[in-house]
Amino acid sequence: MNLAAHSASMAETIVFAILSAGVLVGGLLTVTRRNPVSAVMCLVLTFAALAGLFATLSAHFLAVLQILVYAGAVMVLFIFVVMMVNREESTPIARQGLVTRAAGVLAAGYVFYRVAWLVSHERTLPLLAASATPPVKDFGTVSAVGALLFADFLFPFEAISLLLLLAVVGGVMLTRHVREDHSSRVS
Amino acid sequence: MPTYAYILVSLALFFVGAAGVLLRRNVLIVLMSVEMQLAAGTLALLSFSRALGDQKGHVFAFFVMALAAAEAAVGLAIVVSVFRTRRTASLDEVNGLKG
Amino acid sequence: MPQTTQLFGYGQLGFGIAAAIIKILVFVVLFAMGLASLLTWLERRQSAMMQDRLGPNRANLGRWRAWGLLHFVADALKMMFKEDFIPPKANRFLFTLAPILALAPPLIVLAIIPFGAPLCWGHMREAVPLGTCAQPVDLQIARLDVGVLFYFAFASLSIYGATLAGWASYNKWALMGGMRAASQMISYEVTMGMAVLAMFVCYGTLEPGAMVAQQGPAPWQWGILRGIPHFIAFFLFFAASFAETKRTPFDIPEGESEIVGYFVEYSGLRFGMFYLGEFLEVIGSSALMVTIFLGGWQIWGASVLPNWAHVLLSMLVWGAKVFLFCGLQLLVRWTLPRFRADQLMRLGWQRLLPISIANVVLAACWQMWIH
Repeated sequence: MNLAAHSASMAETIVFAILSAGVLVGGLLTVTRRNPVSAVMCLVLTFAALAGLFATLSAHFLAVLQILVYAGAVMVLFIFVVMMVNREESTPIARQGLVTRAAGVLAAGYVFYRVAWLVSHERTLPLLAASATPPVKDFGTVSAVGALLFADFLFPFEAISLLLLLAVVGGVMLTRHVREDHSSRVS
Repeated sequence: MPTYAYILVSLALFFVGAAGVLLRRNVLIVLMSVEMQLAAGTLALLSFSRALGDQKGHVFAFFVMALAAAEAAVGLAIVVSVFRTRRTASLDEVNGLKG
Repeated sequence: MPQTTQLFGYGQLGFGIAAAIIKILVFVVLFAMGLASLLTWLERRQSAMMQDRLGPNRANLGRWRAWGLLHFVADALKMMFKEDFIPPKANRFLFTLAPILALAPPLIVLAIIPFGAPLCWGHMREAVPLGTCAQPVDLQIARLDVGVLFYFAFASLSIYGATLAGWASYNKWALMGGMRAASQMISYEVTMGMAVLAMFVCYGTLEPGAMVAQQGPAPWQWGILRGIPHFIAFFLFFAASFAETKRTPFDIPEGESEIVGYFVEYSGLRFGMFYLGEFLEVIGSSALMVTIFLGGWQIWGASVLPNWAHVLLSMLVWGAKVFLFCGLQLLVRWTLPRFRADQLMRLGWQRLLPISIANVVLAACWQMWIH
């Protein structure tokens, strides 16, 4: 019994380490790539590993959505636009205004450091130390999240669908070719 | 794994995304960094959701994803139309409103 | 050895891992890879018959010829020994990554397909009626709650294979093919999801194993004949998944006679991976359609037989259905001419998508009317 439990927790730690390394390495590579297509592929790695992390949090529905929406749709859109706007950068980081931006990054780094310090300092708090799947029935399954979405959060759900519709229409309007000759068919 | 480990990963990813937004000048990579930040937020929501045993966090993560998709669609449409008129994808060269 | 029995007894970690590895070996390596390589030969042979030619019929082992069945072995050997050429200006990393991304997703998505009746551990020689087994081993690699969504999530990743191949080759025809592939696949994915949504409404679950359990062995118990919207959903799904496999009549990313396609610069084994990936996609979509619409592995009255015989027969029935469906896809591929790019987009966004959205509404009304 102990053997099985111990090997299970070992396996959990190893899986977590691999996935979070994938997330962070993918993220770092994304912001340092010169070639936008490589950056997109690194971000796909980040999102795939992130979906794995979601699955270890027993958020199976969200894990699949993460791959379906981000890796499968949003990043394909990115790659499509990268191919249209394909320009290699000579200097990934421009000199202009570098001091202000570096100061911004330093400030963000300081905030990150402080919050990370706080989180690791207070890691014995019940909220931060919790490590087991909650004893809620069907936690994170499609039916449970779906029931919540369509019962308690119906209005936000409808609002977000309206937002998506607006985004679609806006996207089409922004990128539509305005034809010079009005004699041709309006599409 | 305990929740704080997930929170640390989420924080680190958010910081990487923030650095990308601040430092990079290619508008596509800036947009990708914003997506990264949103995804980091999703991770934090989901890990707290597990710690609290409350699935409302999943619903919020769902909304964040929908929002990110909408943002990407409109953002990329703007990139394409800017590229059509100015032939550039660098944020430093899109400064027509600068006094 | 008490620890061994603990770890490998029914329901233990070791048992699960061992069962999963055996299932992967039997289903993915033997069945899917075998059928995919067989289909490469079958397609050429079938097209030859349709066009009154002979086709590849010469590969043999001494006197054993079997209509040239061994051509796929010969093809594989030939591809292995060909020069592996990478264009000098290509992006080497992405060029290498692309065929892997084209081959891996169609293999991963097979994980959720149930390919036989559940095996009853410890009672394999007795007749076990369905659903009464105490220790069932599901013949399905992963029984996931998210089910078909998992299929869509990973199938959508195969876009990268085509798109990256087109981009990394440093060839404008390949780039054109890659962009066509991206736009086509992302368009038809929407229709595919909408079509299968009508079936989700009907089954009330996303899990393929549960879907098969809700259907029966007889054709009138299959998902396709549940009602009018489900019948429509089948054809919508068939058309959309055909477009996802990028085969004629939807082969504008390849378009042999205009642009040679996103894999124009690939040779040898890397090209073989694209080729095999395409046939694996055909098998995957056939298997999913058989599971959702055509009753899966269900077979008449076989549960009175001993459990092992039932399992074997159900696997055979399932395999036969998938094989026939693949044959149908090959038949369509050699019958219809290619669409133009604008026709393809119009079909996807202006015909199939509105019909599929209306179909979802119809399916919901149908469900309310029945209950």
